[in-house]
Amino acid sequence: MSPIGPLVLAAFLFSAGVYGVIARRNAVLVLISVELMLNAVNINLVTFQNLLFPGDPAVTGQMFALFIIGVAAAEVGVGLAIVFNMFRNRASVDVDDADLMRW
Amino acid sequence: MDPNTAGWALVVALFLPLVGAGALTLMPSSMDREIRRAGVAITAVGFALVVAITASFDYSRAGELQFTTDVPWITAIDARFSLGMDGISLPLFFLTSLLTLLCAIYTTKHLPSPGKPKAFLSLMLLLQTGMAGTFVAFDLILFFIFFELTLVPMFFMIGMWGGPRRDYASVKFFLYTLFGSVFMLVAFLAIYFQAGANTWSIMELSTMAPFGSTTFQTWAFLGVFLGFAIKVPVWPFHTWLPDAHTEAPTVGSVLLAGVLLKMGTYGFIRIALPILPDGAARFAPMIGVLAVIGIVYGALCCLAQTDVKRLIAFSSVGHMGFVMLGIAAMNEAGIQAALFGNIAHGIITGMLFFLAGSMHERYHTREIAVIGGGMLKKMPVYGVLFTYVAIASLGLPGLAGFWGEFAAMWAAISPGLGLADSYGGLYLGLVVFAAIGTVLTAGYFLWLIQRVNLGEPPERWADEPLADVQAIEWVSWLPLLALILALGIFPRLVFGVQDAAVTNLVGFLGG
Amino acid sequence: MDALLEYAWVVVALPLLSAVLITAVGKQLPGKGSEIGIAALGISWLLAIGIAWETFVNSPIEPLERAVDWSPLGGGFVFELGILVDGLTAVMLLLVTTVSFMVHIYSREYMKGEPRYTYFFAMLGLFTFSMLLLVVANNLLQAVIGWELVGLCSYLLIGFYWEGKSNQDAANKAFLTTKFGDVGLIVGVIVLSAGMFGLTDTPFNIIEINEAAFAGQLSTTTIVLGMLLIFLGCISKSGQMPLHVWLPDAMAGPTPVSALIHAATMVTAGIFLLARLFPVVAQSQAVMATIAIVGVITLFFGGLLALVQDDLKKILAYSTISQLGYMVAAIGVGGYAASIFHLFTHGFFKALLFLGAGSLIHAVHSNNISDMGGMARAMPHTFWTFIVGSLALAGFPLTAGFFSKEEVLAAGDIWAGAGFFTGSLVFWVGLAASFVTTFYMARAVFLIFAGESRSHHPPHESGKLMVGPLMLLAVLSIASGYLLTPMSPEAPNFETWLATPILDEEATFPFTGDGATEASPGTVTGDGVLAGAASPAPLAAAGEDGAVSILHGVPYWNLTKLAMVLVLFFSALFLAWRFYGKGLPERDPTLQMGGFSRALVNKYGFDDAGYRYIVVPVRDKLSAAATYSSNVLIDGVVAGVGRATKHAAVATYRVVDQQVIDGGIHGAAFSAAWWSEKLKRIQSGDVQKYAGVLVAGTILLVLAFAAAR
Repeated sequence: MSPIGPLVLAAFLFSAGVYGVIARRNAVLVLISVELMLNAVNINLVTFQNLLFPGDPAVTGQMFALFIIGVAAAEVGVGLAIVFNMFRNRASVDVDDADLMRW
Repeated sequence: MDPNTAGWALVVALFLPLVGAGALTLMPSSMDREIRRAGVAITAVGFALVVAITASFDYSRAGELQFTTDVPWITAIDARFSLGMDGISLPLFFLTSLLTLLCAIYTTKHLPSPGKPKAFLSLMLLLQTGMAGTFVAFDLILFFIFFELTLVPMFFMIGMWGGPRRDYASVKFFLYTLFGSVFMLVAFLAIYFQAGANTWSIMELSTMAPFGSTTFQTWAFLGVFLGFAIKVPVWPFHTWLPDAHTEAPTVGSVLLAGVLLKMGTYGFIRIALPILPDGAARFAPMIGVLAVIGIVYGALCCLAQTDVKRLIAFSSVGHMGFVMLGIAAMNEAGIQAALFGNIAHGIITGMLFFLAGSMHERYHTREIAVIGGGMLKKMPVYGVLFTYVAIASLGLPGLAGFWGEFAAMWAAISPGLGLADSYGGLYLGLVVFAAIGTVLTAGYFLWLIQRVNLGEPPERWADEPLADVQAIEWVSWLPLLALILALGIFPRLVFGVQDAAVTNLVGFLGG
Repeated sequence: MDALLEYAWVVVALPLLSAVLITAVGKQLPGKGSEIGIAALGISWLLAIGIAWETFVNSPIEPLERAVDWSPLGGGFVFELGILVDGLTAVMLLLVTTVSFMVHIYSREYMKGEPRYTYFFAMLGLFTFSMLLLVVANNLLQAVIGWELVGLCSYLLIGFYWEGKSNQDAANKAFLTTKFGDVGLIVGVIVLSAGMFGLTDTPFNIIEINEAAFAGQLSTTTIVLGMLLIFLGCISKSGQMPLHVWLPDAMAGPTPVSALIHAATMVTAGIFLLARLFPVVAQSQAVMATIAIVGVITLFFGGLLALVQDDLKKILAYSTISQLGYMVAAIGVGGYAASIFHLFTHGFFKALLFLGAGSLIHAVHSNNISDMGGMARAMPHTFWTFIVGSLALAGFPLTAGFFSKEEVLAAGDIWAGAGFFTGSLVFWVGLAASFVTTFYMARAVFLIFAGESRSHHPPHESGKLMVGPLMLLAVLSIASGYLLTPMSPEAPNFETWLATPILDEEATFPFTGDGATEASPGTVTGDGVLAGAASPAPLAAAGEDGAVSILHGVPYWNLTKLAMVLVLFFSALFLAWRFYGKGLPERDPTLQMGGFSRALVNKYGFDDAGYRYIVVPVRDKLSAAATYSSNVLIDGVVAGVGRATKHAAVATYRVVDQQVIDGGIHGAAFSAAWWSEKLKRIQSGDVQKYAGVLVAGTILLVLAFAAAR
């Protein structure tokens, strides 16, 4: 199987995620974009495992992908909790308003 | 005690005051009387030890070092912890210990504001170690440390317990003398490197002398000269002295005049002359001239003083001039005279400062015009003592002051080191002017006696109850009064002890 | 025979012991200490008489010297404490103890009721001790010690009534004037001893110095310089002009002290020392001429000053100055024995006169002869003893003063005969001054004893303790002269008494005068009043090479000169009687001589000049200048160095430290702040911007790595 398809998909997904993180104002959408990037990486991991080490019983790439899915879930949990708190404090989830950490 | 082996005795006698000072600081300040008594006890024990050392000193070998200690100390720079005493050190060491004891006794009743006997006595004891150490140290580094050690306690003594201008006087004293010490230290270093024997030992360096070129000797002597001349003080380096003396508390003045100035002349005799004989020979005529200027000049200044204490301070300039004249003679008789003059001046002027201090306590002024005479009527015993000591100070035969002065002039008539040939006429002139100085000295003392002692007391004091000499004053003065007479009648007490040591020392000079 | 001489130190020690004991316990004793002094001096006196007798009858004797090494002085030299007993010492011991003993007894009554009575006796003891210490000294250093102690005691006693300003001033003046002379003495002694350095370990030893000088071992410079300087000491101590000024002022002390000072214990010290060192003096004609001229000036001009005085004690003081002039002049013309002879007799009659004056003053409570008058009736004993003393002083024949003064004149005459100009000077001026002496003493005697009493107090004779010493001294004022007269046997007499192994009959001066060789040697002795050797033998023997012998031998009568002396005496007496015989004239003729009187009253201006040109400039101007230079100039340099250092420090701090070094530190801090101000704008707080930059950066890095490949 040609790796082109999955790699192009992953590149597309990652770029979409980058765009979302940089451009979107809504904090929830930013989180989702982060998920997009993570999953683009997952696709790459699985693809390169099979491309570079076919038949390796250790399947390291797949294992990493599984971990990332778990960590991403946790991250979204924490992220959403922050967003909730932010919304509760200032009735907005716009990331432009969250500029307290400036000079 | 065997003087050959009992080096410990000297070490103990030297550092006992230091330990005592430490012990005193541990006592609570509230125990005012106990502290003062402890001060007396410490100095008394120290003095007892010094008496024991004096008693067991082997006078038949007074020319050699006894009670020696010589151990490596700072090996990196070859400095050794080297103590000992010969016939030259002994009288000065004894005098130091005696004067400190008497000062401690005096302090039991008399201490100027702000009190604080603990601090005062601790400083005094620290001072004692510094002073005594100077006279028994036979390593240049050790000598220098003891020499400088005296500055700090004296600085605080003047600065804390002094008169109205104490800040000025104490700072001037400290900086001026330190200024000289710097040059002295440089000269010591130069001597060390020039000798090239990796030793600071005064005795070894003396034995090696003369070394180095004449240029080296001249410059090294100049450095040492500055250090000691300021301490003595030789005219024109004397101006710190009247201020320091006048502002210092009584005990400070006594120790300053009694011992501190002697460290300068002792340094000349022990270090400058034997180690740098060529430099000494070159400088001798100049020292002689400065000495005689000091004699005449000091006496003239005394005539113009209105403050008793300042007058006595200026008289020191003149008396130390006689000591320096003896040194300038560069022969055995001259060194003898200088050392005798040292001791005599220490006792007499120390005593005069005691008297001036007591006068101030009674009259609350030291102005001659304010006191206005009649002291002999008001306080007969005190007046007699004052006359007695003043007459001793003007160099009357039969009292201690005479021998240093006469012998210095006598020695200067035929100076050693070949100076008699090249400078014979100059030295004769020096003798004549020094003798004229004695007339001026007599003049200001008699005038002082007339204005303070004689006549009727002026009205403002007529009904004032002024206490005559008190018990504590008797105790602290009597030894000095007795010594003035004893040394005057029997100069062998000092001349005899020093004789062999001075012969050795002049042997180093090669003259 | 030496047994007694060995104990000469006891004579010296007893007065010291007396002083110490009186100070210690005197006040508790019934006599307030005076009994100790009298007892001690009494024993001293008896011992001194014994010593004098031993040395006299056996004269000439070998001097007895005993010394202990008292202290080393460095360089192997030794200071000895010792005694040297020979005729000269014995004469002085006898004189000093006699006068002192008499003064002690006399003072017991005279000082009664005075404050500090005990102290007075202690000081008398110390004074006597000091003089005796000088007299017995076997070395010059000990002599110097005694000499200076004498000065101190005189200070303490002249200032005895220290409540009064003038007394204090007198005491200071005495001490300082003599101290000025001591400069000469001390330097002179030092110079002499320096001449002895190669010769002995005891360079102060008098006998050794004398022998060395006589043997020519001392250089001329040493002798001339040393002796002239020592003579300066004698000028001040023995009241020679111009340093005599302290002596009249010294009358401020109690009268017995004046007697002691003038007769025995102080002013004689200078003469004694010259005599002691006569073998050295005799080596130099220049030194002797100087001594003679100073002596002549003093004996004449000092005497004149007595003419205008009203204060009896001052009259006597100036007469002392004049008589001391005779003694000094005698030394200067080789009259070694004559000088001491005059010193000896003068001691007795001057003590007598002073004690007599004390008796008079005691009676009328005034020192001034204008307050006396008619005292002969009230005080008969004082009267006749005073007359004896005055006659002796004036040199009336057959009194002691006659014989001794004629000896001095004879010495001058012999010296003149040997061709020395100073000899005739001494002879003729001395003769003229004896006229003056007679006149002023006659003036005093007439004014005191003749006419009506002018006293406010009815005078009364003094008690036994005062009159007794007067009588003894009166006897001695006559008897002591017979030790050396034309009637004396060959030996012993005063000259053999004073002879020493060096100054024996053969000793001559090492130089000769101008006319000596031309003059026929044997006849140089013939010109004296009572002059010269009875037999011209010693001079004739020495005369062949023109040298003059030091001891002149026994004098003999010379009637022409004797007549001259008598004529002078009686004419002066007659003149005085004309003026003062009937009491105090309204206008004292001695004050009516215009400028001359004024000069005398002003004491030739010496006192004034001394005060104005020496005391004031030194005490007020020079001292102020020295202090100024110390406080302003020298201390100015010190303070200048201090201030310059401080300024340098301030400059260093302000410029170098604060601007250069600290400027750098500050600059670093400021630039950091400036840049952070600029850079902080990146910190927008906008997470998305950060992310954008992050991505851009990553892309750039990737591209860069790729390009690097």
